Amino acid sequence: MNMREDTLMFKKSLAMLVSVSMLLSMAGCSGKQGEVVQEAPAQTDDGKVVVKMWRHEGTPSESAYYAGLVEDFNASQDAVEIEVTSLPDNTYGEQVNAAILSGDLPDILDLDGPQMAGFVNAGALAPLDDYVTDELLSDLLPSLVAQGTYDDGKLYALGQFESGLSFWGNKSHLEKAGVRIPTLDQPWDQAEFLSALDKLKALDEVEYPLDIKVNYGSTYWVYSYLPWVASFGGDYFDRDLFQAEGAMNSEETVKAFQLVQDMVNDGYINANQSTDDDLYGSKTASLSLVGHWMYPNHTSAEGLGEDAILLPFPNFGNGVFTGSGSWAWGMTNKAVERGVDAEVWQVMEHFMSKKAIEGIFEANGAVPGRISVLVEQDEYKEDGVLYLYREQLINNHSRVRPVTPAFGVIQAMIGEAAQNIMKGSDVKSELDKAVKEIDQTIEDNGYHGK
Amino acid sequence: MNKLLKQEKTAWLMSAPALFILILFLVLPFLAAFFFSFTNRMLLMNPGTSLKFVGLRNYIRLFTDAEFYNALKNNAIFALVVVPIQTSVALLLAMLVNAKIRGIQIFRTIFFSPVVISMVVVTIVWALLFTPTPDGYLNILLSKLSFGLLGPLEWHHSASTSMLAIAILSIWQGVGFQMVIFMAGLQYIPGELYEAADIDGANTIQKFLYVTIPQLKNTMIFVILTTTIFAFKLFTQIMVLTEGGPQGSTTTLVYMLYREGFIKMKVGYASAIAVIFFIIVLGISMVQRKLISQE
Repeated sequence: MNMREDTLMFKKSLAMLVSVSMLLSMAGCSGKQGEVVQEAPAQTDDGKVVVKMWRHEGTPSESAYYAGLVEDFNASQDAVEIEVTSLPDNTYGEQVNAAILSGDLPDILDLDGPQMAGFVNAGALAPLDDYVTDELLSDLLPSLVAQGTYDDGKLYALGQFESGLSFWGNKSHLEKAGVRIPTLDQPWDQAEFLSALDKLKALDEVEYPLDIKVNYGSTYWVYSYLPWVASFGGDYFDRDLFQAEGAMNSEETVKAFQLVQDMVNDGYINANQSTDDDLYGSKTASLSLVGHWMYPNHTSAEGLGEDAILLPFPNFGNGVFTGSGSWAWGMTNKAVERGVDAEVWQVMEHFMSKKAIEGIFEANGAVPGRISVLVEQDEYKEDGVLYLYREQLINNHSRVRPVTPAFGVIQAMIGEAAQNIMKGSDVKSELDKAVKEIDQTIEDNGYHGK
Repeated sequence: MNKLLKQEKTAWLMSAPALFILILFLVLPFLAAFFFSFTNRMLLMNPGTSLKFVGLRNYIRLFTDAEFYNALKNNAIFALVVVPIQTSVALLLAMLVNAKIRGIQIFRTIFFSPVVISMVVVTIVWALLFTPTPDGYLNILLSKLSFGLLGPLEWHHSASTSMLAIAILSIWQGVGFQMVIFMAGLQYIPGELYEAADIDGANTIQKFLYVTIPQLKNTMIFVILTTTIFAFKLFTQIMVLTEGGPQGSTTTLVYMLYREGFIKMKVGYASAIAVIFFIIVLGISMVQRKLISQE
């Protein structure tokens, strides 16, 4: 089948899917159909070249930062105008997939690190090697270069920041309960961790001591819980055999998820959690498994203020791990087709400038992607609130999420399994079910390795 | 003869725009789905694989998939709960707002207004009402009404009550639509029939049973059919509120189709679900129509 026929098939099947969903949801679904994007003229009225941008909504402070950044760029020169569309976080990947299929991609978009492999595999992204300068590359965190580089050795995505993940804790609670504050050198082991939860639970003001962000829904687990699984010695994906079998349902991974179920049964975790502010608002939780993006909320005066501290995850036998990877910017092949690639790079350069990276740090507390910016921030200096993130990343405690085009299905299935496990389903059989689904998708797609 | 032929031509001409749209958006997509259901079509094809026929593989997978039967069961439960309740509540509301009282229009508007609101918004509002803790709005109400005997329920957070929660909010949102259709039906019943019944000495209940119900038969058929089809299309509420959980208790056929096609990217498999779904809904509608019109 040649390319032209192939594209035709793509379009037909999209038409089919869209129509089927219209047929099936006459009344409903209206919220999902905002994804149909009209082809806009390449120029604005005053002769500026339009660069279309998609980004995921993110937190309110991230949204405000990007709105400011785009405005700033548009005002900084009179040749290029960014037209930005914000899409809901939890269906962002699906919307981009649909756009790849229908040829409605924007010129530049942000993507979660692991989505890159799938998008490149589908021919959606253009390599950035011809544009990126050595000066920028050498200043970038190595983990970001690794995250943006595909199997073919080319760079497809540029991250403004790296993620920091560990516990956020309420220092007053910990002190009141007489819990030792762990460090990266002397982390809690499983027994000490569970006894800490027990002591915290006994405090009058604490309802569920561990806020594991059940409210983030199913998509969070692939990122948030991988460090724990790794610490047990397990993984979600066999990175040599390119399959989930033997990794996601291994004895170690089962143990890690059994712990989740036990913590729910012991009342340490609220399996029905729907609020986001248990740690810093209602203060009914003492530990929160959440990343850098909550830094502004946690440390604000209305939040925990000085009481907000970072603590490393426990060592469950195999060492302390953290998550890694974050959102990054990619240029689409559509931009190259439309001949606006130079303009897109101009946008990217603006986004990767030191000033912009300082700004994103202020907005979400992320680890700045440029080393020169990172070392200058007080928060990341030895006594800073966020020093643990820097220490973890520099000492290579991170475990990256599986880099495979099958990432989407891995994310969906492990999330669903985790939710069912919290509701009391048998751990092993839930993980076996997820493995079967993932490996069948890999088989059907021919995603087995290179 | 010539005149008839001319009329026929005009008829075709007049229906051409509608037919065109129907063919473009209903017939062709269905044929495409039928075609893809026999292939390995993925949403994004890996450059290393090509489109090929896989025979009945997708159908065999579907009929051996426990999730499919679970989804069918969930759809059936939802339809069995929602169709009778929604139809009777709609009829009741229609009779109430059909009464000739001053200011009744206000109630018509109130009962109809949820239909105009987007289902996504309705679901998010109900998600707040369904707060699973004892201080959740509905749990407080439940506890007060039952003098502390009932609740607190976990609503959509528990496998045993999640479908109930979905059914409650769906009925609340949809019932106004059926109410309006019943109202139209009620207004077409000739007043003479009620006068005749009065002369025969019929009481209110007898008038309802022997005049209103038989006169509403066609309306009733329409309402039951559309409600059943709507019930089988259950998707938005699931997407927003539960994502098919907890423990698969709210996975419906359409949600399963969406997940297989868009998340797992198995378009071929999703197409097979669409075909089977179409056949099931068509079958149910035909059986229902036959049963009701026989009476």
